[in-house]
Amino acid sequence: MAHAIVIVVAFMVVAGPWFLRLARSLSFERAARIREQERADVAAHLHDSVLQTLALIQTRSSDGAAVATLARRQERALRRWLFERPDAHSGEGDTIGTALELAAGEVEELHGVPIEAVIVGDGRLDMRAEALVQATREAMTNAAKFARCERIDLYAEIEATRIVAFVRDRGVGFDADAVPSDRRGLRDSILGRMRRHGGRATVHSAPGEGTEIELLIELQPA
Amino acid sequence: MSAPRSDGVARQGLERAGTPEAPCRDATSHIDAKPRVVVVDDHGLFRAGVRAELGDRVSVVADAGTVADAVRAIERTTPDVVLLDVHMPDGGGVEVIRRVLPALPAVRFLALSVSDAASDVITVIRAGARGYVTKTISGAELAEAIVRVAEGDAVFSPRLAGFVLDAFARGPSPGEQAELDQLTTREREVLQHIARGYMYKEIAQRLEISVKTVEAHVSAVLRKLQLSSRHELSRWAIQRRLVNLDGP
Repeated sequence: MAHAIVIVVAFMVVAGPWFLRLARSLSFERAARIREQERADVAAHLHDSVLQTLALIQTRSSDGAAVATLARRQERALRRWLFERPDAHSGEGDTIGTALELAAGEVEELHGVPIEAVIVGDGRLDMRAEALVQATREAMTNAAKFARCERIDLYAEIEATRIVAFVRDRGVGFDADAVPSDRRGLRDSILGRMRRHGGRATVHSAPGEGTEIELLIELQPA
Repeated sequence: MSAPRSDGVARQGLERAGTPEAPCRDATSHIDAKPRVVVVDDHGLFRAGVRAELGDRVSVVADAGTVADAVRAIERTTPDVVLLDVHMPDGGGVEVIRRVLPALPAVRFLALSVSDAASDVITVIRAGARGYVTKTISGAELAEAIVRVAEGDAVFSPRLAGFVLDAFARGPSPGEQAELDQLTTREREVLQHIARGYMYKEIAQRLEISVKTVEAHVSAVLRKLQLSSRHELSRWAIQRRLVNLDGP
């Protein structure tokens, strides 16, 4: 019995430090592995995004408009990656704010006109809010396609009971009463859609003055 | 160099810099003179680009790529305006303002950044910057913003107007300085128009007030932003976005 204890104690004395070292080096190794993995994730992200864009920019450096679009798109993507709250990744466009930003980004990419989106407040995306987002997207698309402007401003204020959005350009403007009937975008996708969902859209425009479309919708109390 | 850093002194500097009615507006001799500018940014390429874009509307007297160099350059040249990158190693633009403003309260700062993070931008404004523009601004617009800041006005880009509206969106905080913690209806209207992409002149027309009054409103908002007792203004704004998601 006494022998056994002596043997155990002796073993602990001899092997203890070795075990401790092993355990410590394992935890170091684990920390190093985690760090390495994080670094690899960042490297992979930069490779897939920034480096690809830089390569594209080099091959298309003579096309100024294309370079600007590529740079804008990359900037937006990187910014989203750097600054977005972790919970915003739970589902794409699941808040009104992210849906509007997404729409602005898509229109900008599609038509190559920079859109400066400023969004105040946020809320859950329900059917009415979705209608406003769609109408806002159409308003931005119209501005990008017809206004011949260098920049579009989107401003949206999201409150608990209502959302108001403004799409503004400094382009050619138009006479709202003289819009040809085949321009269904304004009539159906913006004015009609807002009316169907109990909201309203107001067009402020005159030839040469640019255009501002104001969209307003009351939200249903949750 | 060994500028006093105590809060009291910094605040005095702020209050002077934040006075809405800056006296130099009516000094006609001032209008012809080009503002003297120091450009502070840790990217050499960007500094060179800014110098080129600004052309001859302003006079760039120095540039700097680090906080220490920036402080030295500003103390040496005492410029009218410092064009200041928000993000830099060693404390960023905020650190430059903290070290310079107490000793040189007449120097004005215009923050410039690609950053979207409201907290970073609000921090620089609260430290004493008189405006914030994003780096995507055109050369002509940037030159105009610099002239405006040199004349004592505040310059709000649409993005900054959005940040500020977000920060002040709710009613008064429980603090005793209630009047500093709220925007007036007019101030809110002006900020909303800036966020919508309108220029001061257009805002004046739409609200049927003078351009001077628009400027006074913006300066008043700047002052509230800098002096409000809401010390956690930015964090609070971010929380608000989160809180709102749980419904009204």
